[in-house]
Amino acid sequence: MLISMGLLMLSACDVVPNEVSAKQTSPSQLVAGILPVDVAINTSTTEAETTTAAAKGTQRTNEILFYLENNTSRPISVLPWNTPMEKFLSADLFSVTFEGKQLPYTGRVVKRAAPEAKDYINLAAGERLESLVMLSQGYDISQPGEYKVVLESLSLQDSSGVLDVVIADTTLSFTNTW
Amino acid sequence: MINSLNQFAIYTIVFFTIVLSPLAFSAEELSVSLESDSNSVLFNLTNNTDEDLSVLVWETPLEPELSQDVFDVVASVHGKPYRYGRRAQYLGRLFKRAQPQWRNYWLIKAGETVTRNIDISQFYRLDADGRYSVRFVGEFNFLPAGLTARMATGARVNEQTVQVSSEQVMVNLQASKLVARARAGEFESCTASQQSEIEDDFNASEDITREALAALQGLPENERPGSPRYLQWFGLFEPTRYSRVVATYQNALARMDDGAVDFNCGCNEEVFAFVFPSRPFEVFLCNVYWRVNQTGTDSRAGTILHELSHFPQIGDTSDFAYGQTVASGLARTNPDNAVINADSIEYFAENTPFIEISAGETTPLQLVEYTPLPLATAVSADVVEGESLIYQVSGADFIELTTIDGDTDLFVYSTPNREDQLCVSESVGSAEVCELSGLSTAYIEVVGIEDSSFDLLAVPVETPELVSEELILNETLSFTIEQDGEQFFTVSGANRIVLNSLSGDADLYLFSDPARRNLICVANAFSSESVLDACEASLDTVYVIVYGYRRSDYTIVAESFDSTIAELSDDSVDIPVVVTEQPLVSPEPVSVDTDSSVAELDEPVATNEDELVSGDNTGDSGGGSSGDGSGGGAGAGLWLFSISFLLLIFRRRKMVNLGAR
Repeated sequence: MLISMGLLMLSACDVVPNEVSAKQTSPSQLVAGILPVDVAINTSTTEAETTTAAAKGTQRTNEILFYLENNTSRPISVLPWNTPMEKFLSADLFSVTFEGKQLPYTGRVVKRAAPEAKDYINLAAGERLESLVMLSQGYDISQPGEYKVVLESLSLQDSSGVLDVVIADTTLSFTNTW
Repeated sequence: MINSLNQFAIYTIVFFTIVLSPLAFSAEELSVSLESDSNSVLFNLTNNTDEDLSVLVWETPLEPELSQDVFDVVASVHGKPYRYGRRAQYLGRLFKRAQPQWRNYWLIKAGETVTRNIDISQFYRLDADGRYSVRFVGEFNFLPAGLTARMATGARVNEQTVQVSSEQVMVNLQASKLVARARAGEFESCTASQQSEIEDDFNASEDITREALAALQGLPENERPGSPRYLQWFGLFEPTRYSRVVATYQNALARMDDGAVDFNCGCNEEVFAFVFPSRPFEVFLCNVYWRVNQTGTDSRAGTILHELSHFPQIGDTSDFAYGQTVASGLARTNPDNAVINADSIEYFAENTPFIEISAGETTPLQLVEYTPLPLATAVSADVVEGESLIYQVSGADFIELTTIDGDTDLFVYSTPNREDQLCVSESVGSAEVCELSGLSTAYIEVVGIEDSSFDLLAVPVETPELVSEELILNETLSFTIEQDGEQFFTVSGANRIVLNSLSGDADLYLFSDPARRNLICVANAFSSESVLDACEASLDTVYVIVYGYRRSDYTIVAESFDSTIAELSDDSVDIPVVVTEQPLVSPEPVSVDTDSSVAELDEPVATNEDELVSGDNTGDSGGGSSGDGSGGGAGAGLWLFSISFLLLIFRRRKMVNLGAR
């Protein structure tokens, strides 16, 4: 389904979602993607609707929303390390451009011990996980101007190996005017 | 006339035999002796042959700046060489060299000695002023003067190599002036004890980084493609990838030595550590770091190196693979990523389990992934029919494969390409055993004849069993110990161990572990006043080594004050009185070589310890120093060869023993 989003005019910080969301190529897949924070998702129809963020006034360009949907018929146990599911961004997962130029990753990298069962996140069949990602933890988005963000790299693992996941082809755009 | 000619001949024979025997049969065309000079060491290199030699100065003390770890420097205790001491850490640089030119060779004429003054404290970490034992152990490359070392192809021909070691000398040295060697920089949110631990961990990290660099740089080019250690962590050899790894270790070492690395202890996450690669050089240490060992696998030393490697100025590494298993898989499947994977950089340097850097000159035809096999720990695994599992191990004595279920076969090879089969295993019960006969690195294949499960065990080369005698409390025993000998004792419940050297000099060392690695007390005084050495035994069970500094008849007693008191109150037991000054007669006859012990007692007991110690050294080094300045008589020496053959054999054997490492 094609979903179109309109331009949002905001007083201080603009978020202009450019393009459109996931198109599922097969019914039983893991699907991941990013969305602007204040876009609500109707999970039953998987349609994204714009909200009147201007009215809310709570838009923060610092944060974006990451989602992971388990559209398979079986539960999965996925390791959040070095993915957008972590509390603190710890890997160069996004492609962020500022005024057309690629920004280097200025976030952290972490040495970890071997994962244990408790480190995994369980997602039941059909379940969806959302997490907020603070872009500033990994990229310098402090300059006023236009930014674009794409989720470039996502390596999901369960206890036995790498999981296949489809990344929704979404580019988020926003403009910092402060 | 004839008589006097005969006499002359005999004297000549004897003279030249004694003088020339070390020359004619010495394995060393070059020899080294060391002397003490005020706060430094004089290094003397002698050309023992009868022709002029050009000696390559690289990696020898002939260079102005020492660039190879060729000295054993050990702090003394009470002025005597510390038998179980650790060598001082080598601080010198390691260089990558191209082909040597004629000007890199030093001409030493036949019979000539070249001397250099070596400032040991500049190249070895000496923590305090004091008396140190110093010994040279190294190698020289040389060729007859006048011949060039290099052909147009770049091969170094005409060059010979000789391993040379010197006798030990005692030298007064000053502490190293390098104060900030590998010192950590600023600390943020670290307690005082954390700071001091980090300083120590930082030095340990420098040690493993230095060793990794030396291993890679020191490996001859033709041995690099076959290097088991490189293959394991970085995959197939390729010159630019190899250089990339070398550069990472070089940059890390330079940063540790010259610059500062700041540490932040404020992290409370369940991870080891992290850095912001864009913000050099601050390392954040987290919960897991404080729980791991300083060295080993995923150690603190390794973690520091791992994190430093992330900085673009050091290695610009990423975290493609965590953990040894995944990292070694990455080496096989993606060597381009492996050389910029931080954990791979870490595991190569940590080198646990130990893997040899060199397997000789081999060209692996096909890279396969070998699972490192730990020593003395059985590994359980399953193998599918028709497939095989492959392992590598270093330092094993034999391999034992036990089939639990199914049927497997054991093959062991000596090369990574598994072309040289070392042995066909023999069945011993349900186990198959393959002896490695001194092979340092073995490549093991377990073939599944059927679907099987098995245990695989690499048994390490046995360290000689320490036969240790149990001391009975408050019972004095008498023994004789040879010079350089060791005798082992164990005792439980003692307060103090007392060693009394009746003749000669025996020293007392106490350890807290059966392997005698953890030293807790040394008593090795020598003075004209008393020959008593005593150590407080602060643990319930202590492990003792008595060392024969010189041949000695001695008594030893483990005193227990509490039990003495307790026993005295028990009238029914006959208590031996603890005597320390006058030894009890031992129930077993002690065979004493009365001649030598009398001779030792008659020796002038000098109050100057230096004289005594250096006197011993002269006696010990009789074999090494008699070859000086006798190049001219070689012709006559050859003439006397057949006559003095037997005598020379005996002399050489003695010299070898005395000079042995």
